[in-house]
Amino acid sequence: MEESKDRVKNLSRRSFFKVATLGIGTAASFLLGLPLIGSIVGKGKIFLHKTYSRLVPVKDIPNSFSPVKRPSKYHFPKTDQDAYITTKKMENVWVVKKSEKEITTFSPICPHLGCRYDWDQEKKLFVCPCHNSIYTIEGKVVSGPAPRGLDTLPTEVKDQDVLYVEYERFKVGVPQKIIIGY
Amino acid sequence: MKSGFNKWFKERFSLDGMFNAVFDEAIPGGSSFFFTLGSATLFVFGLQIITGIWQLFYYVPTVDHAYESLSYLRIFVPYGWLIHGIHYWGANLMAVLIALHIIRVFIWGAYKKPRELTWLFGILLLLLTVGIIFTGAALPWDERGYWAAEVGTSIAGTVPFIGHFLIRFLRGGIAMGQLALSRFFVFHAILLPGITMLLVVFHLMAFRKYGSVGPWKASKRIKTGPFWPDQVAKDLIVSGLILLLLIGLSVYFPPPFTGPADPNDAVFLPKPEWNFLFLYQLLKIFKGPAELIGTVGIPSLILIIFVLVPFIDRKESHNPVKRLGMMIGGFVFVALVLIFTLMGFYSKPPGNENQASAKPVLAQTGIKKEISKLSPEAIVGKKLFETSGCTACHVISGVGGKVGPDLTNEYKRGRSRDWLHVQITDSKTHYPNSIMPDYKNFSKIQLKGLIAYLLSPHPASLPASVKKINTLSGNRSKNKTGTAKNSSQNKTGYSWAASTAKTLAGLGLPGKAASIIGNVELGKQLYQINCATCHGAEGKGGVGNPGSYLGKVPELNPISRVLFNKDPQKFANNIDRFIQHGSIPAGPHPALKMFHYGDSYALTQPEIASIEAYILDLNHVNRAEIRSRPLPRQFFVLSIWIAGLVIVLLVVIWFIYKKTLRKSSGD
Repeated sequence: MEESKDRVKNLSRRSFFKVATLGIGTAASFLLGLPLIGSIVGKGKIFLHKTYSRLVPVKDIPNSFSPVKRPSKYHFPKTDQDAYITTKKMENVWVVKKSEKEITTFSPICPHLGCRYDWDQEKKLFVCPCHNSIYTIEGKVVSGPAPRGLDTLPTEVKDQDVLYVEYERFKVGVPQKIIIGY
Repeated sequence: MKSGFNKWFKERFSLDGMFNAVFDEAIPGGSSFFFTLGSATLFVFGLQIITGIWQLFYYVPTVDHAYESLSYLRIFVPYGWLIHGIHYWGANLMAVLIALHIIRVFIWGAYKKPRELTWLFGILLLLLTVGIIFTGAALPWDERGYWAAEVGTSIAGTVPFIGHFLIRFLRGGIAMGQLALSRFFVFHAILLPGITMLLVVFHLMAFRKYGSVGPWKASKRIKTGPFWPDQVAKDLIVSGLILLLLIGLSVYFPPPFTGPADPNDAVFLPKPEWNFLFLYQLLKIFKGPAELIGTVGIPSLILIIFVLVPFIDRKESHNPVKRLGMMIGGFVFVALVLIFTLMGFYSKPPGNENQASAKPVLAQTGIKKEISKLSPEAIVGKKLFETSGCTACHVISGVGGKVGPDLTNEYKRGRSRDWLHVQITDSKTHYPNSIMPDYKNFSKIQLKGLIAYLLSPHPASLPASVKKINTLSGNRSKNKTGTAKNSSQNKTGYSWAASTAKTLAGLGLPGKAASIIGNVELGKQLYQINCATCHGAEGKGGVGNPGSYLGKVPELNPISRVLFNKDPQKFANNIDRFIQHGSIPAGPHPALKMFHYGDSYALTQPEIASIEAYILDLNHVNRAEIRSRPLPRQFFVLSIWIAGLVIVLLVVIWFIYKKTLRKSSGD
């Protein structure tokens, strides 16, 4: 009788310690686990400062449809903020000029998986070397795995007819155009 | 004394139990070379750990130094090429060995009850290895690794629901950069290998519990052989051969220098390593919204099937003949993977093949037709346009450089003759920031011809068939070299060498590109786009440069002795200063000047580095030449000698052993 009472007492003592160990363990894991996970998942967006970069006077952009079907590529200096590293580099965009008023600017990054596409003068199409995504000069998908057409960038014409572009980056591989940074 | 110490030590610390657990086992049917694949994989994994740690003494995981630090290890550190080579080829070989090991286990039915967990731990190890190979490939932060990582993590980003979280976890942010590299480094060098080591122990523990499955015929399983030393000896023989193979590969097939990562690059064709090629090929089949089937669906399906294998095939028999369904399934799977890998290997994206070779090249054969349409004046202009270096910067009919605007059918832009005259002779009048050189030394007739040519209709592009490497400028140089050599020492006392030395002395310091080991192949492509129009195909003499003492654009193959140096670093320094800052040739009115490709950002530093590697290669200097001793080939000879010595020694011991056996049995 005494013995079994002891056992019950012992058992409850033991089960209490089990519960306590599990409880403290779980609480500690969560307390530390959340910050640990939180610190390791990177930021979803890189918003530096929204700036318009000067590209080129509009009148100097050759017409992209006549006499030759060919878009123009323009470089401009850009400051890249990569975590704690700031680099000045040359970025570029593709500019398609239909007329003085109709100018489209494309991000140089293929919306499929983020490679840089190029203009193929023979085919008169944009071709991405990675997985053969092919686009028309208007940025529409002709063939290949791209989920959406080329991404257009906001432009502005100021300072007596000079084209400015706001460089933006978009999420790749999805049909929607989701902005993720400047 | 020794036994005393042994006793004392063993009382306190014994490894006997561990030794027995690892080595003391009977193998049904005896030892076999078929069973060495697992241990060979483990051996290579061990090599990866050692060479991996050794690389860490030199490698730094930062975006601006990863490539350089690895180049330094491979070129300047004694045996650095060997350490990196073994690590690189070891990774490739490990993938092969794992595949063979899985196939072996599959055919022998070694995953069957009660060995399911051994199989499952193995599948986990396979996944970890894939992860290690993928993250490791990015660490050199070279073109190949960078783009593979960019595309690979982008694919992870397209996974439904968790994609956005996944890509941030993998990259440490939304874009590829330093945070991504740090992360790949931790995954590759710490986390994944750590987990792998733990799982290797589990895999071996699960394996040891029931031991080797042995041959599938019961009659052959009755006779057993010991694991130690029979199987261990066979394992070591295979491992020794593997080590020799890895050294040989590192010496004769060193991993390529693909040039540092250049996020702005649109010339490099990113293709994954061979072990990911079948997935790459799958990706091309499924388009648009169906792409997820290729990127996520099929790989997940393969994984699920792998996991389910021991639970699908539950027949007791291990004999492949009695498991025909499984064998056919396995065979089809392996065949598909091989076919897709080969397809991926040989595939070329459209547009890429002509991108490199055709664009900058002037074709001779097809031009005749076009010339017939031109006026005599314009024909003079056309020749001038092609030989005076205009094509270095300007495109006509799809041929020429990209620095300046396309001049195809300039007449449609409504330019007047006078406007063009001013533009050619003094472009700053129209564009204050123009980088176009002033061509003041053309005669009136020449200018007239040039303008006439510019105002003539041009075909939009030349047919691809006529775009051969046979360039006008290249041919011209053949006639020119003779005269050029004479003119380099002409009456005015001008010496090309002295003038080059003087120009060099006046140039700014070498840029970053000079210290980067570029990629020759990429450099060749870039050279053809940017340099060949003036310096000629393969650098063999350039176009004429009226107004300069030399009379032509200097050839780069062979390059001026003033710039040449056997030391690749010094050689690169010399030419880098020209490419970075540009130069003005000596002479009263040189029509052509070397463009400042670096200072103007027309080319990125990695691109310049690759062009330099190509120019060095043209002059038979290897930019990536190993600068430490002993040289790889010397070391290979040494290792062959050592291997031979070991074999001779073993044979001798074997004979002595047999003799003593015979003697003892004779007694």
